[in-house]
Amino acid sequence: MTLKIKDDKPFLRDTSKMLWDGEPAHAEVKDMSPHISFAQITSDVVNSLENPRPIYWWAIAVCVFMIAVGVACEVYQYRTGLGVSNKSNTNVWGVYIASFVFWVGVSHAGTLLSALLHLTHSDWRKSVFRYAEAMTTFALMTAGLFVLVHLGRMWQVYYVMPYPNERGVWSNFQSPLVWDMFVIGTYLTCSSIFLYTGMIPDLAVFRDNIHDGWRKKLYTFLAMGWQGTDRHWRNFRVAYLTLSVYLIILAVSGHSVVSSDFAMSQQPGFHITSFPPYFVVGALYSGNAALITVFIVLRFMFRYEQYLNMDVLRKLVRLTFALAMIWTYLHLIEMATVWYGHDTAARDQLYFKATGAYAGWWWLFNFLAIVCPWVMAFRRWQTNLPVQMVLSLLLNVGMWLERWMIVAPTLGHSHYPWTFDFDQWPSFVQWGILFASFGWFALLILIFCKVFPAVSMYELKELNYARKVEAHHALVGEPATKGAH
Amino acid sequence: MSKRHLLALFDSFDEAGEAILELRKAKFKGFDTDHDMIIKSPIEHPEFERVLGPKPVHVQWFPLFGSLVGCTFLFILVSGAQANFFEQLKGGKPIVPIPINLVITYALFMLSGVFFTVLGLFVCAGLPARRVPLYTSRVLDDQIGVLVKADEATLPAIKAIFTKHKAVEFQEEAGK
Repeated sequence: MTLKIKDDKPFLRDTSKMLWDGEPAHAEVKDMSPHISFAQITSDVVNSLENPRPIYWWAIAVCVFMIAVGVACEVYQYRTGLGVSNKSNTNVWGVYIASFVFWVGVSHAGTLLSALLHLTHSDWRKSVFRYAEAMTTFALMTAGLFVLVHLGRMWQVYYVMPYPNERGVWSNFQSPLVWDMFVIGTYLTCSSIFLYTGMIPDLAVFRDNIHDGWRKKLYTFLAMGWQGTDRHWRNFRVAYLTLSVYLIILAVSGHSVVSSDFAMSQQPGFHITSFPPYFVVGALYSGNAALITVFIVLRFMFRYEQYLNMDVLRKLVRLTFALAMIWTYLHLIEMATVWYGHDTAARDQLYFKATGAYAGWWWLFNFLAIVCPWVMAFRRWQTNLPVQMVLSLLLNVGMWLERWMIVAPTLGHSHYPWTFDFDQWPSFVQWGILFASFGWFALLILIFCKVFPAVSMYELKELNYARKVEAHHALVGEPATKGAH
Repeated sequence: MSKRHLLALFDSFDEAGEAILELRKAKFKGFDTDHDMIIKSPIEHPEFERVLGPKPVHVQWFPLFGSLVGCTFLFILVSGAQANFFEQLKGGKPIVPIPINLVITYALFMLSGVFFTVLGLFVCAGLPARRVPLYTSRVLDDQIGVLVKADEATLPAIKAIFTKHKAVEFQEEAGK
């Protein structure tokens, strides 16, 4: 099936690729051209579905291979038993729950960019928030898989689900694990609804610009008859704002509840008051780093140079750096609290992390997550794509290690010496499933961007219109009072 | 007298806005500017929408109602389950621990609020919507449409106002 722009629209044929300063479109764009037409935005985004670079298909193939590796590992674990993952009675969570926390964390950046920056009218978010929202949904779907996988007998997840049964026994509503199920389930549902609702105006544009085939039917169904009337926009504006408020609160509370899985326990190294803000900021930090990675990939793959431009990247990098510094502060505070506190088990635990069996990984994570982001402080590196690509990946390696360093050394060095298990090392099964999770997440993102608008057309048009109004008022020397907000 | 639809397309919000203001001032017989006029645009533009006069939005009541219903329902569900203490002995602990229950009560407060917000959007915006007469996809791309429904006798005067304000194209419903 071939996507085509309808030919009866002369304005869509106005496809001048020259930018406002005379540069060709493939050159490094500082900001979106104020002279770009609305129709050009529509045309660029609709055409991006048809013509991704060939590397897109290679990426799909790599993702499928990664998923195949994980499926093979899971089948082996399922048929043989959890023992093949090399988890033990002491290390019951291993890589799986560290990865669960990591993926829940990645999901948070979407909400931050989309909802929080929407409330604060930060215009630069307009070109990146759509794929960021998609990342939220897909990262949560990935996180959910780890909950199932780590159980071994995955059907036993029903123990946390409240349903009436003949035994009269309900799930333990006082357990943070049950809270987790409720809050993460709520967050996934709400972020999916938020993603869909925000896409309705763009789906209507797709509906009108695509001739036939399954896509036409899909967009027609999902657009729900949207026609851009004043009634539609008026109610959409209030509803979207309301959803934004809900999502911000959910994101913060969601990761706070995830942190409760640890902080509510009596384990030394887990039982720390500052865990909720520490987890939330860590989530935003790693999520933003993941956003930069996806930003660079989509920009190249779907030819979004005009919209995912250097101005936006610079702001994204600065935001990530700011979050990295807040997270560093909380990380140091957490260690200082333990070090100067009276809980000797917790202090031993911290000492074990820095000098014990996991010391190499612990120092590596500190280097990657605390020292590396300082590269982002230098203006010359902020828009260097190869540097930011490598850096964003390293930051996420660091933040994944951080989650693993919360889970593994703590469980392996608890209160009682007879439960110590320093030699636990995840088997290839755990690593294989972790490997597959990245393929699964990337595959979902790639499919989403091929089927749905990865950048928000109507918000880009609003941004474009506001810039034009500003430019006009600057020209005639009046203060700008009009324009889309 | 039978009423017909007329859709005028504009390139500029300013021109469309001025045309609407003039229509409101003209007060044609059989043409109610509050009910017989719809504007369509590719972007949301609150300032522009104000030329239509005050239009209340009621979406915000839906999440309020939804959240309250959701959290009440879940609190009753959870408390009811916990009150079943013959099966699940509490050992001296509170049968219904309110602070603990607030965590998941809060989760359904949010979930239900979000569901009702979307329901509110659909109800208040009239979605899913059937296509109104004289639809053109250009209003979602780069033009502003003003759709009016008026008596056949009034349409030429309305069209003249649109023309005066640089409407670039008209679509007219065929007469019956």
